[in-house]
Amino acid sequence: MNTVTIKIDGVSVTAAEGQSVLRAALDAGIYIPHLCHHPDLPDIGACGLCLVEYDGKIVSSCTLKVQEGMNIRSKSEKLNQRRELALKLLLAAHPEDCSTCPKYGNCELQTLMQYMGVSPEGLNRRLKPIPYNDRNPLIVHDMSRCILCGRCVRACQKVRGVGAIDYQKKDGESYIGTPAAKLLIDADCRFCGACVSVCPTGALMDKKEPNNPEGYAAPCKHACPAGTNVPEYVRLVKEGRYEEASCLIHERLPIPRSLGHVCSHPCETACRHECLNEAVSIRNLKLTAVEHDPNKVWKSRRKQLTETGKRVAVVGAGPCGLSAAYYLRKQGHTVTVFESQPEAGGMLRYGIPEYRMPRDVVREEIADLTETGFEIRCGSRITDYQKLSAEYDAVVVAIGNQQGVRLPIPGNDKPQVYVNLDFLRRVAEGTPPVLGKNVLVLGGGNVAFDCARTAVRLGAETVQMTCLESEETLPGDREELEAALEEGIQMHFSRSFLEIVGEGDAVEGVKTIDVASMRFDENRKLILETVPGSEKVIPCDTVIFATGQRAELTPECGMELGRSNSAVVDSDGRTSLSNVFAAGDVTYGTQSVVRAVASGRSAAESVGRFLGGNGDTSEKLVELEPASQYIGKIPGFGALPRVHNAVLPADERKKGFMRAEQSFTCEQACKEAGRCLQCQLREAFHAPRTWNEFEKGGAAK
Amino acid sequence: MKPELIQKVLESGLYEYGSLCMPLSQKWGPYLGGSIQADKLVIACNCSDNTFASLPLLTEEPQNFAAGMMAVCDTFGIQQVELYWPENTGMNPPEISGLQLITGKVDVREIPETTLLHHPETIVNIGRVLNGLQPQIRVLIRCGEEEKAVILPLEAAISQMIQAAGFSCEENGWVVAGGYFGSLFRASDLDRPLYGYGNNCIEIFPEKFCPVSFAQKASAYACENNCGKCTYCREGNYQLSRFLKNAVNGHGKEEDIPWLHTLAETIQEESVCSFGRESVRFLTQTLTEFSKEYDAHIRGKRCTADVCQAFTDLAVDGSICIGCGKCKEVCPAGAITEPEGFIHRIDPFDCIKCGKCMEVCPKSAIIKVRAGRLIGPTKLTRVGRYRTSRKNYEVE
Repeated sequence: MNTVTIKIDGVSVTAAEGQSVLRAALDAGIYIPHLCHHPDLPDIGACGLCLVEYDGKIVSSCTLKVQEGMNIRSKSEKLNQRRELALKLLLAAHPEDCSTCPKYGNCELQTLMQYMGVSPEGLNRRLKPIPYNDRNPLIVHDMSRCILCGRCVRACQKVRGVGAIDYQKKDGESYIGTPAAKLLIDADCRFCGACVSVCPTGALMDKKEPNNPEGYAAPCKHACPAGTNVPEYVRLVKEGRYEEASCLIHERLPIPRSLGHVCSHPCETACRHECLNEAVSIRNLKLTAVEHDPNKVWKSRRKQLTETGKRVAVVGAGPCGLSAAYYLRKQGHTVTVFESQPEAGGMLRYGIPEYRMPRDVVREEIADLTETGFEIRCGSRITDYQKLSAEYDAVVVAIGNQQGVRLPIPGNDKPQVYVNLDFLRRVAEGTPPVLGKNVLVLGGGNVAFDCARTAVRLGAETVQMTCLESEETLPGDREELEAALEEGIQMHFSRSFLEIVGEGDAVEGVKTIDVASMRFDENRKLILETVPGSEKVIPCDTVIFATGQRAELTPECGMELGRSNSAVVDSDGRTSLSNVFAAGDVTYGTQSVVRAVASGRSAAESVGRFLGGNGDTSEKLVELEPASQYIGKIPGFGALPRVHNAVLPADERKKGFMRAEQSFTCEQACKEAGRCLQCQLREAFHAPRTWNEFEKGGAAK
Repeated sequence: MKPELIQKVLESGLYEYGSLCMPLSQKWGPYLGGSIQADKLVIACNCSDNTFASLPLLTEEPQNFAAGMMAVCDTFGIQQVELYWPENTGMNPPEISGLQLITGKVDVREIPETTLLHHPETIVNIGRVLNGLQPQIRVLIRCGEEEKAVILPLEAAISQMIQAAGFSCEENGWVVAGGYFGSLFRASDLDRPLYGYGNNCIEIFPEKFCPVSFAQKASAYACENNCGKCTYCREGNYQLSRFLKNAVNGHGKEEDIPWLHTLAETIQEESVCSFGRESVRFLTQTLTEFSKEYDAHIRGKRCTADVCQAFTDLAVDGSICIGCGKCKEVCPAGAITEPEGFIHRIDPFDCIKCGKCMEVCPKSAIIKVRAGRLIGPTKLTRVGRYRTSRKNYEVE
């Protein structure tokens, strides 16, 4: 790279050939006021602030290229006057009141005003008559605050190659917008948010998103408890680079293929595409990536530290325990996992039914983990935690919430009354209980749907569900509800259960009462308002409680217990027993597989530090080039519908436990991944440096 | 193009007009000398061109245009030609093969050195020279409602152009050469060529002309038609249009005058394209040469040319009025309310200066006076009981 030496205000500055004088000055720590310049955008010399004197003329320094021996003056009486005039002209057309603007304290115009200390006194003030435009999803246009710097246009046209917005004119007033005042979606905006990122004032702002309250640029990766780099792997899937995507995923998730079937996808819930039409089908994209990966590359690169000689016991081989064991093993410790069931997997093996979670996938992924050399002892139920604590250097309790809740209503102990987890476990073991003809499941969560849809597959004639919640506030997934209805399951919403009725030991029905309103108070206690006189009996001959789960801990275990027998832990995951840690559902209640996995890893890191290491389990399994900032225009982009993976028809899938959903084809995956708004590209834009960050610029006058 | 033909073109005295006005020899220098290799020819009107007087040449003299275009491409080894056709010209673009037609104006910022930029008339003129003709300029001449186009040699004087169009102009009339973005000349001072303006058009004002009013219209035009990209032209012209509007409406303030100077100078020097630079040409010229007019409007609240309506009122001469009420009947604004037999008065607040009352008064008692001058009674007075002070008659 050739360099050139120029002088700015007498100071020698070395610049790269082809740089602008402004860039050379800023890079050398000399501040020249500017507004329309942005380090990541081409310069156009629009704002009139970066004026310098060169060769007897006053010119914009952002469009003046450096030449050897140039002599530049950035301060003089005339320059200051002219620069101030430019700022005054901009301020005369700008709302007077800063304090009501959402960009207050973060606004480059405000900062410049402080630096230069001018007011538009003497000029004619106006408020631009362009109405506040919040008709579009995701992006708000407040043209009264626009200073026409043109950064957004350059970002959209030149950097992104989309060109949805441009300079427009209405009744003699210039503004930035879509041609013919179209909606952004009709102008083929890609909603990448680059325009918002570069806007110096409050003219372009992100709309508040209900599922992204912190206003992250790419909320998907922040929503994932495991911090999976969602935007990057989606991009790789779009490009058909499945192996690389899988490597990237494996950096944060030890069991991505299982999660690809059952993850509760908080990423999709936070996905900004939801504000356009529907979220990107991220879980299915993850599954596509890992399904196409022969698993050679990431295994060959995974981190393994040398033996430490320390011994750790993990109790529970569910997603949490497996994750803890895996990351402990990779830190070099000797790990033994104690699992009470005949096989490892926890909820993946004995909870979630096979039509959702194929067992071979679970077995294969567990094998991928145990390859690193930790032992799983099945059929070993631990009750004496203190003994374990004495025998090992550290213990991680990851037993989940394995005890189903049997509500204390009359008749709850009749023989044909089952509890969610017991029921599902027996089915998973291959010895399902004998059901009657008419099964009623109490509960509205995903576990309740698992029970109901399992009952259908076991041959029950009629399967019904009833729950406290209304259809709108149903805790279970929408997809589960739809699938259940297709399979002929009847729903009774907004009911509270009073009694299981029937003569003697027989179950003949469940007496319910209508719910007028329900909510949980700050102690998670249920506040219920029922409708008097609305008691009715739902006839059935089998009842399955699917009304929650608890940890199987008792006070004898020696650890301090909290709500519902959960283990109390501090911020490092330590229990009240000296070297005993706890993670997963057993600490915070029934949540999700992905949260359990993240919790297990976090515990492994804590234990690592406890045992004298640095607890760093991060690893790099793939080297990637930065994503291209140029994304191009796609007609009709914003309206592209979500691609749905094929699902077996209800009549077919009801017959057995074969997998109900089918994976994306490569074509479907490419199409769906192409819908991603690529919000993460915004993170590459440099934040503006304000005048006080420069060495030589002078304080405000 | 053969060297002797190139020589012929350069010797013809052909120039590019507009704010980047220069002889062809100067413009072609670096390309002919080999220091810049041109790879594209862009044919476009100046950004400041709003009359498009030369565009009809493309349909009127297609053979000269084609010859010129081919000759330029040949000489500089250019394969790619683009023609920019502005929007709202009221003319359909011609069908010409060998070039790409783009609607809109050229963005001067986007033109690299390797693109040769020419005005359409220049291309036609190159063709004319090669075909053995003289280079000429096509000019629109406007006088009142009439408009004519004339084609004359480059060095023809404005007076000749007016004559060729069949118009005449009295010695005490005014001519604006170059449209809104042009210069003002007295009719006695027209022995000069039309040179250096973005618009080849001439407007004749045979009787009255107010430079302040024209400058105000020019700034309003600039606001309507600028691209909005650079601060000085966009905001500066807005401020000018407000200050000048106030001047013309009698609301000008003394502090406005230095602003007019500062803004005019800055817009002219700092605008990125010719539109901005040209937009204040008229104001800059008249602020210096006709500063008394601006003073009169802003400080003195008068319009010397009696053009700006804010400074003149229609008033009834109280000593002539017979109270017939005909003026009251025709007034559309209800500004006259006296009963028959009383001296009628026009309320300056309501008066819209349509002039209907002046037309119908049987005694010609209604005249234009300087705003605020009284030629009638202040209170309700019977006819015949008022004498007008002579000095209040004069409309300066």
